[in-house]
Amino acid sequence: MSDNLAQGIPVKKKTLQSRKIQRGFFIGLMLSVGIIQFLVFWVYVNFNSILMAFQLQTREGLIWTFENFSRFFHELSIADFELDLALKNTLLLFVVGTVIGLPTSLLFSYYLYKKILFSKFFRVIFFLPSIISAAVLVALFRYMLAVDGPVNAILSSISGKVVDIEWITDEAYSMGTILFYVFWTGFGSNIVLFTGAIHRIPQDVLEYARLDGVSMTRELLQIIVPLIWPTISTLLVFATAGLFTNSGPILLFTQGQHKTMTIGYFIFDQVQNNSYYYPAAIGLIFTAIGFPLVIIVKWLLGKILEDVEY
Amino acid sequence: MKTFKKIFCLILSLGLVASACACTPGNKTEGKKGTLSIASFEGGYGATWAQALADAYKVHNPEAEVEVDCNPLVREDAVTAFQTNITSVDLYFIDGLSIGNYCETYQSLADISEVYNSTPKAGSKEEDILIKDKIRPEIIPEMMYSGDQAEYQNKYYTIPSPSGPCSLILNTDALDNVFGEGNWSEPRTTDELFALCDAIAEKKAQVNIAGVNYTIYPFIYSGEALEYWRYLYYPWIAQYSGIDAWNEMITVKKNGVYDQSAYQPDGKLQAYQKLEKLIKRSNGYCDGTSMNNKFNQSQKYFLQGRACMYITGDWLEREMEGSTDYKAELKMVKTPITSDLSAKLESEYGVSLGATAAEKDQTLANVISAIDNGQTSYESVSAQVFNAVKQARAITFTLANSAIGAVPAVSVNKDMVIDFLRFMYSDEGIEIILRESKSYLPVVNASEFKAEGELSLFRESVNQITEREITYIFTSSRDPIRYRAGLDQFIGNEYPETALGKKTGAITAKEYLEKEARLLNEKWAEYMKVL
Amino acid sequence: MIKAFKKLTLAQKIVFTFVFILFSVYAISIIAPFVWAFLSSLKTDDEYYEKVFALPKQWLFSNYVTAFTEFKIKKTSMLGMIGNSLWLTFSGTFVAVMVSSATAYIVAKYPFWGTKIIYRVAIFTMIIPIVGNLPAMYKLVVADLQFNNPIGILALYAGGFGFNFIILHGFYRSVSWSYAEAGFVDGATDWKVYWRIILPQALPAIVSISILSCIGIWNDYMTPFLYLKDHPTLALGIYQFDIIQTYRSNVPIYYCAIIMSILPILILFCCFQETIMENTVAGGLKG
Repeated sequence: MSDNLAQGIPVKKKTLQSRKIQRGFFIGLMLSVGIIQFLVFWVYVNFNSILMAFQLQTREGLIWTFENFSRFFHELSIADFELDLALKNTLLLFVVGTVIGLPTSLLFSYYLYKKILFSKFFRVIFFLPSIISAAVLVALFRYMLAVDGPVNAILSSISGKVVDIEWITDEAYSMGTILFYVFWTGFGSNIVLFTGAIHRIPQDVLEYARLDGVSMTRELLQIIVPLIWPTISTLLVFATAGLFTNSGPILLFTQGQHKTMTIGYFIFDQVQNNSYYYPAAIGLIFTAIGFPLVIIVKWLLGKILEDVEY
Repeated sequence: MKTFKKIFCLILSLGLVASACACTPGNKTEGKKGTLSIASFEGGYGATWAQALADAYKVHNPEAEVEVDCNPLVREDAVTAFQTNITSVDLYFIDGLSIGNYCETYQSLADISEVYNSTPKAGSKEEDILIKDKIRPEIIPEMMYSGDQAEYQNKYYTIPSPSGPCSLILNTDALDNVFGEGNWSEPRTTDELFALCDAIAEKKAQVNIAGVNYTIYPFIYSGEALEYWRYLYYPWIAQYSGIDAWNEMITVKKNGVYDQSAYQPDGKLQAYQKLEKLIKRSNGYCDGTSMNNKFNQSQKYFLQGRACMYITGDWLEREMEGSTDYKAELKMVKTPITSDLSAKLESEYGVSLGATAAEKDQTLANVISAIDNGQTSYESVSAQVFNAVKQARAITFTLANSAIGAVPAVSVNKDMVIDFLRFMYSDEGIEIILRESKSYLPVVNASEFKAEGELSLFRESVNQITEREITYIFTSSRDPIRYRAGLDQFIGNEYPETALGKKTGAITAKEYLEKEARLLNEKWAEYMKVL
Repeated sequence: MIKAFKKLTLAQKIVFTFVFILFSVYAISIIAPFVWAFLSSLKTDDEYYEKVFALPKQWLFSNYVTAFTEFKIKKTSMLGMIGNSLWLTFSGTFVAVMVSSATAYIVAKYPFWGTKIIYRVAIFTMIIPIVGNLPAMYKLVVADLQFNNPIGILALYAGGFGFNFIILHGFYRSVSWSYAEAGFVDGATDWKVYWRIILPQALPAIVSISILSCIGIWNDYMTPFLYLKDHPTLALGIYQFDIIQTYRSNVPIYYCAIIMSILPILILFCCFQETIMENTVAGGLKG
């Protein structure tokens, strides 16, 4: 490819018009597969799901209504229903998985990039949790944390007392355990993306900085972070978009028992019980909240740092 | 760059090779006329009964083509089939299917009333009874649509598949281990149950499993299968409040009209309080690992003798056959009668069953023994009281109403399905099912069938229960308030067993039911809008 | 590596040592469950529940044979499933990444009124939880399009507006446009610029996305379950095995199956990371 540039293909004169048509054709072609796929497999298939939010199956058949929406706000106000707790847990999952998780993954990626001893080995290992299905990982995690499992055994031998903490089935610990799990196993895919991004930074930029005697903290914060900002902000935008739909590993851990309900799992649970109209409405409500939120986050992230081209 | 390209080419060619062998037409979307296709969910009753039934059917009908697919994914498969009306299967055996929902929303169930109005038939041998009279009467309405849309009413859409009683199961080896051989007796009333629990807990006996000593607890359960407790405390509600009140609770109706008060019959609080007593942590009746256990983990511990009692259905033995080498003498007993019944009988019939609570319970227990021994009266109690206790004693929980066969509306072999189901309900079919699944179809003459060979204590005890007078109760989603309005078996996000049995923040039964009533009241208006 | 370490300042040495210890602890905490799963895979089921954290009494490698022979969906053996998985994973990833890359590139580098809308729609579709679309989807794929075969199913993966799109869009925005401009001056078409100049620069991103996409498809059991009943994949096999073992408890065999299913993807990743990380860095810069 560089050959072509070096040899220099003779510049053909083209009218602006034909250039425009050609470009339009190119854009159309590039977008066509994606857009057709989207229209067929998303719009056509899911259109009904959005309509469902405004429908209700009654004695007289299907009716159009806003009932599902008012039902949600009503249920939100019922203290015994604990939907406020679900909201709180949802936000906690976001905070731990993203607000804390992303910077940690970045730090991990940075030190992997700095070729710390065994960094290749570490990279494979850190990626392990992402390779296998969550069901398997949760099963392993659960056995580790069983009442008579090794974690309690280790704690017992340290403290000298019998420790029989129910990490998963005691509401004093359950949500904390799940948050820890989300944090502990959440690095993998972020590390892949971050190392990919860091490796794309031109080596000479970092080389110059190093010659100037820039400290590691400054190198990370003032050079690497701005240079991979598009990746960081993209991941943040993506995480914000999934804020309410991401149910976390609740199904595999507790099925929403022991005070671990989340909005995402609540929707899932409703659907499992063959009820579609109500969860469709809940989904739409949170889309209405989430969409401006994502746009704001994206705008804010753009404000913090302008995209750097390199 | 070059290495990358090489790898990429390698991968693509690998993929092409795979695709070459994969390029056959997609899965079938329509059934084949003349080939009966059966899909059966593989669960606790094993994988063989449907195939065995089909084999026997083919002996009688050599010209018939029958395919059986038995695997654990059938349940999900059936959901897709019934929601889309696209399937090649003619008959699904699954557990749990909302007739109302699939009729009203998807129009995907075939009317199989013809089976109910036919006679059981094995080859040329026809029996002298209609199938609808052969199935237990309390199960029959469960197989029909019971919503409010006229076009589906009075039609049958499902048929029971094998499923038996669910109740309390004793590990007699563990009990012998705690008390010495035979030094204990089966609990007949809940007071006796709690006395037994106290005695076991007090003994702090131990059992050695692979070199580790474990304390033997009265109960073990699994946090993964908390609903098993309901096989115990739901009968307590029905025993105390009566079958009618139980059915009113399930449909939340009084005299045919939706009524919140029907949801909490007078026996509910006592039943929940007994549940609370059993699973409250500080009472120490349950093995401490219970909540954390997988269900077959708990069952394994139960067979190891780490607990004396467990609650589940008659599939336990069949289920554990293939998964453990531990053997124990198990015995299913009828659900102990709630001791509160004596007080209720006293006030209802104006009699006295004894001076003290202990005496009253003793009388109740004696009446129960008399009933179990087949007597028709007991010395000191009136016929009225005796019969009331007899009715309560008959109440047994089952899942037989939800373990069903159903036919997709798009099936092209309905005539074959009907013929097959007639065979399934013949005496020969029932015998085959008994042999393979070790359970019964819910038929009125179940006690006439005897499994071949020597029976385990567990099988014998299950037989004994089904031979005696029995009234099945079950939870049901057949009323529109369940399937359309979405009232689950419980209201709110927390299971009763979790709320009462959790380690931190457990609430009392009274608090739970108060919360339940509040929630029902809050949601009532929404429910009523769609009914 | 040791030499490089000696060159560092004291503060850096301390930081590196600390990070190394941290990494090691984390790595151990990740590996331990897998080692344990491997040990468990060599036990009998009863032994597994007796002492959950002991070495096997007898190392039953025969469990792997059992798993291999029992691990079947109808007539498809484990090898067949691996074949199906490989096909679906690689062709699915290829399609998914190529389509996303095309849309992301246009949206990032050819801003016009349409691209802004496309970006917003992409975000919107990610936020809205879709419920109850299974019947519509199933009817479309199975009855109308008859895409329920290993080739047709790729259409499901050819989505251009999901996670892949968002990530690649971020990458493309930061890709230098100066090479492209030089290309245009030299008379290259948009097409050529995309294939010859932009794609090579975006290779690290493409590779990262491909890895993630591979894993996603490799572990997805729902699509094959619904649409590829006659071509079950390994993930579907594992899923079915998981349900079976809740009824016929045999955890060790289950772990055998899991370990056998992880191995291919682990090996692949190990090979990949070496070649890819190095080649992409160089390739991306050389252009």
